[in-house]
Amino acid sequence: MKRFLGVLLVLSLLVALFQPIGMGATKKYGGVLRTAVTSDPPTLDPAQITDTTSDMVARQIFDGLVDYDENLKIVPVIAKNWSISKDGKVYTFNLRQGVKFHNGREVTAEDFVYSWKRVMDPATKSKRANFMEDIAKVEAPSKYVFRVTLKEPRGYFLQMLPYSCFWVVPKEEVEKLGPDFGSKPVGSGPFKFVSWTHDDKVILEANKDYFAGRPYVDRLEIRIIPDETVAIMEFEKGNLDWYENVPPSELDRLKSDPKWKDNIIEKPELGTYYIGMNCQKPPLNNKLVRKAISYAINREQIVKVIMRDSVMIATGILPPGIPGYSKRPPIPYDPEKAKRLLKQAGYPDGKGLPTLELAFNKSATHQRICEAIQSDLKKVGINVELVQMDWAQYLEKVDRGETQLFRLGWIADYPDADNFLWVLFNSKNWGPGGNGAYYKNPTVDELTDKAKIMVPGAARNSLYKRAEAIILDDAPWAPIYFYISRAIKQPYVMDFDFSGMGPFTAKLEKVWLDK
Amino acid sequence: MTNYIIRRLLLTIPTLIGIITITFLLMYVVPGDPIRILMGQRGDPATIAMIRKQMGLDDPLPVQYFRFLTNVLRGDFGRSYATNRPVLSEILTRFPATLKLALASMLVASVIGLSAGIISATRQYSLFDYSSMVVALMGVSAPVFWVGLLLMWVFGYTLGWLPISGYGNISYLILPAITLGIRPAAYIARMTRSSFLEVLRQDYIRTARAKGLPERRVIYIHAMRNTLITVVTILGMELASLLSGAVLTETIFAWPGIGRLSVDAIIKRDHPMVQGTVLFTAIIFIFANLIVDISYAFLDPRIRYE
Repeated sequence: MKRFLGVLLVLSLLVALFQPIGMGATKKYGGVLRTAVTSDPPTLDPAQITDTTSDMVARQIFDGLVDYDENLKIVPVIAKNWSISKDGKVYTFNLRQGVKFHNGREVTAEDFVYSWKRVMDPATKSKRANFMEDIAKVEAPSKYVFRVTLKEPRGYFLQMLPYSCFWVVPKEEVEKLGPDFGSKPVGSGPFKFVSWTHDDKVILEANKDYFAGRPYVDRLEIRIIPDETVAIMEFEKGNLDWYENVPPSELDRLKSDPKWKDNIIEKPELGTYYIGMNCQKPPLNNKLVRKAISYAINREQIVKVIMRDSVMIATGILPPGIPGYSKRPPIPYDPEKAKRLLKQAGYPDGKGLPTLELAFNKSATHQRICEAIQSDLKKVGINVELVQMDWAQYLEKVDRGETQLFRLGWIADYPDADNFLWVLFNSKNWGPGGNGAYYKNPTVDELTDKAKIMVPGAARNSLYKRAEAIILDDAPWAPIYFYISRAIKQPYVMDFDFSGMGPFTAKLEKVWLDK
Repeated sequence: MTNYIIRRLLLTIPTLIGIITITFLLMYVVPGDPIRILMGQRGDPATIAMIRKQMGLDDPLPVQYFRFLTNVLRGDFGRSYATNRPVLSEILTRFPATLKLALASMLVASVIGLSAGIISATRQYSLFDYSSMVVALMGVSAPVFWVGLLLMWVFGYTLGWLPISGYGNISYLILPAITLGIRPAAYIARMTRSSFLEVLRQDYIRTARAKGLPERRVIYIHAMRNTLITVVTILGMELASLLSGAVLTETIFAWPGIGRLSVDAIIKRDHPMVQGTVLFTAIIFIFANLIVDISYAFLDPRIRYE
């Protein structure tokens, strides 16, 4: 009897111990998940997407071979597994069977061949056709095997594949809808397209036949609210379930509010805000002047006062999270060193130095940052004139190398150092290709060219570390801050997370509502 | 009258061609390549060149102009560079929202503006007159975004009586309509007052009063009709202006109207969309002008169009 009671007691304790956990973790199906974006998505056609707003909506409708997980690790999606040939040129993807488009047809390797060739075809006018330029051949040796042959090995090829232009589309729907495919998309993703009232809202519904299991929520409602302050009001009123564009001006208040402080998710974003310096234009063709400018900028003040700690002080070119990132101390604010460098360059106290032009595109935040830099540089004897332009005109000026100092922010297309160090600093890429500073250093060119074709790993990362150190010493950029991506959610929104690429990559099919 | 209307309508053709030509040329003079903008910060030069060629953007300017003109004459405004959707359908899908907002705000403006103007004029130098004119001055001076955010914060966020933003039933219309109606209301009030005061000093008003007509009749029958010419002119132009979109109000209240579409098109150098929205606005202004001119003849029998 005693033994029986003992067993009963242990069993009751076990039940008592595990029940709350089990009950609490029961995920609920149903409900509508509501969010907002700041602009109407230009298109939902994967071949045409270039912005994160369109990407956020379209990635619910479409799938690719692979994707990033929350830690930016490549995970399988439609590809079950893959192999890479020894020479690093041939990628063979084995596809899952039974993955279906929203029209009911099964996704096969031929669909990937069609989708990728469509992006390459000039008639598609894809703005991301250049993402396919490394590819020599795509083929479908069998129904569930998709093979890609590259012209040369590319260390970052797998990292690129989650990008929208590599997602799969059904040929019959694309041909039926023609250019309207971007407005009435049909994919194979976790949500199906329902309706889109332009500049108002997009509605998607759960794909109950999704290969990985149906999403928890029944519907997604993505509203278009251009003003971030208004969106925050809607959020606080309970009319949105999560929101990503929290304005820095609201951040302190929300973080100190007990209702929200534990519901703000922040991650380092793969992006760097910087002041570019045109290395071909005197006096900025003198490395000492560029370094003096970099040391004269008080980054801490910009981050704390203007950006209200919504970003991190830049410590280099590569932001944390990118393979090859080196932890360095922040670039110091050292006006005395800046003065010494200027003297060494032949401009003691800035004497003889012409007034430099600092260009930026119209925005209150950019203006405040550039004004702060103007004032910092004045203190060491560098006179700066601010020139603001609209984005279109500004891009053209930077592309043509017509600026001296310019502000820009670079957010990675894919999480690989190549997307920073080759794209932005290799001299083959001068101008619109990414190297707006018109920087050229043969060693950096050699290192980034070499790393481009190496397999990912320590050896490749060490080349990038060397290249970054050289670039920082040459100072074609004065990096200012690293971005932080951020989203706020209602307390009842569960399992909401996103990768370091930003909240637009949140896997909304995993989210459930505990209410 | 019919001849006059036909003549006016025929005159719109060269006006519209002129507008098309000027807009077309302006878009090519303004710096900024539409394809480059669509590429994002990094624009691969080979891809830009390929897309420009596919879109015919490298053709000589006269070729592009005549291609555009002949398409427009056939009713084809082309497709937006940014969205690849037909320009006309983009405009027409937003027009109902713009029309609703414009009519509702004109209603707000007319009711408030006319009543305040008439009462102020008939009770000149009274407390009501002074206070309504001060309020009107504030209404003209207050920035639209500030008024909008204030109304939204009070009635949407704090009191929760009305939706904060969005497009839906009539409750969504109230705050944007008031926001947009306040400025024309103030303007109409000031113009109605001054125009009424002028009319009230006319001999025929004195005659009407001398005849012993009741004051109400003098004001609402004899004076009102003559004042309406000024008010109708303002209403016509304000309505035309509102129908071409109200970007600030639309932006604050997330209202899917033509204003946001037009401004976005200019920022993105989306030439077909800019041309489409400009032409659409021009047509609205031309017709608003025509309707205002025709209404003069009904309001004032002395005006005849031959």
